[in-house]
Amino acid sequence: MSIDIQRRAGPLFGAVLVVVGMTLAIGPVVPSAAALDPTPSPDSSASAPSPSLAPPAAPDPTLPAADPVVEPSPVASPDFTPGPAATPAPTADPLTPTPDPSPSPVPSPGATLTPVAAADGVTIEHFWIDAENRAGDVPNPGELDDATLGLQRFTVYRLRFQVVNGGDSPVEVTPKLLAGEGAFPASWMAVPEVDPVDGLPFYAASDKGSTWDVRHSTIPANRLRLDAASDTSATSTDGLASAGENPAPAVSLPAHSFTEIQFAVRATIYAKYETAYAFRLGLTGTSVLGRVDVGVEMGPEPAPLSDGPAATGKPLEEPTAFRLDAGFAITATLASATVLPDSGFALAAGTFATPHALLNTLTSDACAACHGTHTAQGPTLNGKASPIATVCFSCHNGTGANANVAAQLSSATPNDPSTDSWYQHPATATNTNHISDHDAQEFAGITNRHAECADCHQPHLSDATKTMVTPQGWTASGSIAGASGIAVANGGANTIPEFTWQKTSTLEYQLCFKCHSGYTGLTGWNTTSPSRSQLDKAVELNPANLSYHPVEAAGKNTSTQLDASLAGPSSLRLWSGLSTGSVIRCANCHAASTVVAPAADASLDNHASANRGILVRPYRDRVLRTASQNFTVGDFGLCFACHSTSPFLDFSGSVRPDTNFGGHGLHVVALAGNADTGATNSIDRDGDGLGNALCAECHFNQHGSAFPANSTALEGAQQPATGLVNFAPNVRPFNGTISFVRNANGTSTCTLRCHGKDHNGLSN
Amino acid sequence: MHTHVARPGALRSAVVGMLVLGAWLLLAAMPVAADGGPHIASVNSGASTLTADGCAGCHRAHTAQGEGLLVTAAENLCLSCHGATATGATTDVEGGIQYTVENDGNGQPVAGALRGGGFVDARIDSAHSSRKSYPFSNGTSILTTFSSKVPVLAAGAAVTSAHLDLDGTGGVTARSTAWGNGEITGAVNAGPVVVLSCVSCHNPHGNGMYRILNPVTKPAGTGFIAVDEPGVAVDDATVPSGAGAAGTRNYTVQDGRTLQDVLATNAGPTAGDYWRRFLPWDLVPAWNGTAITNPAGMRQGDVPGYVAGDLDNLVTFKIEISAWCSSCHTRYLSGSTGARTNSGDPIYTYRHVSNARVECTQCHVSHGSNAAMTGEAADVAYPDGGAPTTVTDPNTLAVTTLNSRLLKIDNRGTCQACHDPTGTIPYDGSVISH
Repeated sequence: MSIDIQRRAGPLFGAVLVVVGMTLAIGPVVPSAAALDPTPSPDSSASAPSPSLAPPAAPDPTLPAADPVVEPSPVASPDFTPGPAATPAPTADPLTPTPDPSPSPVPSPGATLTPVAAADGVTIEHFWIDAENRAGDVPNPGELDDATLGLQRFTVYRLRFQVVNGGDSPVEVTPKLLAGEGAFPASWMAVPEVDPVDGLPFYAASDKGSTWDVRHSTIPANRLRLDAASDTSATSTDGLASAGENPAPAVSLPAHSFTEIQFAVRATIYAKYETAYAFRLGLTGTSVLGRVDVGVEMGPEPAPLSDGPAATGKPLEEPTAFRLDAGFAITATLASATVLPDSGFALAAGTFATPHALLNTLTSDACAACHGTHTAQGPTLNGKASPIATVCFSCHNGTGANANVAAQLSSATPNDPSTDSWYQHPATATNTNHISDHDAQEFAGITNRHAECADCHQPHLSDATKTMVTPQGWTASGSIAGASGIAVANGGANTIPEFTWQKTSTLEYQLCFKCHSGYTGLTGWNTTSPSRSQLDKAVELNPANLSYHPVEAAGKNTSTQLDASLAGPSSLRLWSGLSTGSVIRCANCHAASTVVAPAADASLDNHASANRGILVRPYRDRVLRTASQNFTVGDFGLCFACHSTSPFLDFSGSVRPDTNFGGHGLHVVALAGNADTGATNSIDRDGDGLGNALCAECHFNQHGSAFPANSTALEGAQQPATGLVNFAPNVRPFNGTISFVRNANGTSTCTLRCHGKDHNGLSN
Repeated sequence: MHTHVARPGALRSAVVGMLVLGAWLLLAAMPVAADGGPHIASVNSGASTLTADGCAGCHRAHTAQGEGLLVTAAENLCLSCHGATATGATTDVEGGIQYTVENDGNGQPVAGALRGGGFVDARIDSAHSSRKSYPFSNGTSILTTFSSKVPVLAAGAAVTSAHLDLDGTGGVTARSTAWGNGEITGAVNAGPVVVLSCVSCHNPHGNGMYRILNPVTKPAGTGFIAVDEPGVAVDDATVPSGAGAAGTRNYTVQDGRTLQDVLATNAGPTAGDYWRRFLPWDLVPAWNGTAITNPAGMRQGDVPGYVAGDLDNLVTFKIEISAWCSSCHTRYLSGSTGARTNSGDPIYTYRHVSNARVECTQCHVSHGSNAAMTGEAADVAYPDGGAPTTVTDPNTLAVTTLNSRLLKIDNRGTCQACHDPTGTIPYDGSVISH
């Protein structure tokens, strides 16, 4: 005869702690076994079954004995999405989801309590959840039937269960661990063995973390945590600890015996914070069927390791003030995207900020994560063959670090060198043009550009240090700490600065200048397709220029109109708080397109973007509008990440307080159908232009004014101008002149011909 | 009456016999110095006498129980003197203890740590790493010398890797692979499985070398490729003598270029450290605290005044011991470009320098190490891809990985003794330690 005892978890541990409970159908309680603490709940009875529990189902001899688990295919449902509640029905399969016929007396969440279906006298009576530290030890074992911790990603937990055979016959059971999302999962799935699986929150891990060292060991009978069981006549027998195996090897249980069975599981990046999950230990055997469920809950997302403001996801709003077509496809993507935590790594609490830093110990284990000494497969003793990304993606693939760079690159549009269309830094391309150890010669004066991980990151120094603004530019953040770069000593306007290779970049843009300045070999003007030119950004961003985007120093345009533009309304605003005195980062414009509402000093990455040029927002700059295409702000999300959209919604041509050129709205809205004969829609073709203008037609090179396009040299040369005005190749001179002049009264005068219209000193 | 008179000759014989027996017992009870013990050929061989009694210590002509007419199996025979409970030698290779011939004043020998560690326990204070700043702070060249001292433990700790499984518990040498043995051919070959024994490395008859190392190792095993000419011959030479020839050694990682570097005060305490002093194949310079006197006949590399740019000829011992180790671990021998040059071997593809500049014994001990490997350091697979051997504490279920690879310092502290990949630690002469 069995009794039912309601057991519940210990005190709730606040919102961040796991709440665990069990309801057990167990054999007679062992009054003398203090460790068992089998305090019955008030409604327990020693002589009658609990009304809250379904009676144990008799084993169905027709069921497959080896593995009667009914579980969804990992492929079919990889995300543990709870499905419809299972239909309550008597079943002999104890591992099949069985709705609790009566509400649990323990309030949700975390009170999970599926009864054990006892067969052949086998029951699962107690459990522990131990958290391993980084060294693979358990300094503070979990309490009996309690889980005093909020599960954390990447931490290995040992789930240990006491199993009792109260029957008169020996049995052999095969333990298997399943998991499901929710306190009462609607579907269960076997915890995958050894290796994390995309989308699954747990895997049966080696209890050493990242090693796929599948093994099991015996828990000797004399080393069990409990020395007695509810079956007072039961004696201890050897148990089993599994690391990476699921199901575990069979365990023999003599008649009237008890033992303990342990699985090691590791939470992955797919384990949702503050979300309930349940583990199910299932036992199968010749005629033994039993299970028990243990509810757990993931802890909260770790706080950023830096003191910067935590980035919060904020859906972008669709523009409503002026929308002339439906071409605003980016909204859906952005609305669901979030900014990764700036910490970059979510390791076990209390360890360290980054696994790369070696400064705190002289006996670090971290070297071995990436390097081999005598059996290295890559240069510089890297553990894996080139490119270096193969080493980095050991963790940065969604399994060991929050930054899933592998997915960023694999999911991005492939680069198309034939059209100079770049969507990602080619970190996975194996380069043979490394000259030496990232020294001055690697990029100097030669067309030798490449972007493996280690070209931009010094992995031994990377940390979560925030970038900070200085009058000379934003500092190099911890993510690129130690990466080499190019310092510039600027000369006069439009001149090539003096370049100095630095072993360590102190400013963020210095890293970019390794490849995007004249320090290295750039192809320069593309005379056939000027919009594909590789120009010297160090020349373009020189603060001595007439105009430039303020990366190296604050800009020259200190007008109230520009201040108003930077502070004005924009439904696509990404960066706030900017003014004419601001200095911006390269990453303000060149970053992953999934970024939403980041802080000014956010840890932005520009590994890949959905937008050409690895731009943080779309920017249409090559294909001109057709005669019938209307303006849409979404085409210029990059501009409106900082600048107000208001001037572009006003096509009156009037002077406005939030722009230095009142004709903005007019040009982007009211030119539909204006065209020269034979014109098409290429920004690179002289005289092209069929409809409303693009920003790039008047601001062809946005970085600075140093390189105004000269589409037809015979017709006249453009000169650098203020306001980042430099006309695209499709804009033609008028009578040999193509110019933009800002007048003292706040108006501007243009001399040129575009979209079939002469501007003969035309002023607004 | 018949008088019974003892024969004077017989009494004299008895007295002499007792004296001889007493002397033998006295001598037998005295541990033999490791640096020049009974194996040395000049002591036990016909060099000094053609009637040496040492043969009978190990051999039986007609009742031998071990191969080679040994009185017992090889390992047991060695342990009869070099075992943890034996008293016949100053070297306890099981416990990793080096006893001194002096006593502690109470008639007990002083126990120190054996440089090569032990096969069951070792006394390496592997958690106590230190280094004397970083020698590559300018990113291009060695700025100065440094010393990373690894002290000894007062008591033995269980080894986590060893060349032999002397206690028979398995685990530490379960794979028994001569890693890297054989030439680079492009084939996937981690190394042959071999059978190691004491005599794989040591010549019990002595050969004039204080370590009594075989000039070229050759363990038993199918597929083992002996390297007779690893490039640099291992010379036999005179036995070291003088102060410091015996005594407790520290497990010190030294990368000094000169003897002065080793002996200078700023290199840390070195008395008793093993380095290139007292090595039979090197002559022994004298150091009086301020200057060095070089004995006549010293070769380049033995002397402090090194020739810049001629590093390969600088430290004779270093290249010799690297060559010796690589007579088994052939493919581990690598020049300074090995870390950046694909060797063509699919396993030993890029290799840390292991030559005259960084000898094997700078990072590794020979017998066994008690260094603890945790985290990523514990996870490193063997060259053939096999998972490291582990043992589980039956009480705590704590898993100990037997994966220290004979390294001297916990985890990858051995790497950090020389390397600061952050490049941020300036050379200022200070000692960085735990």
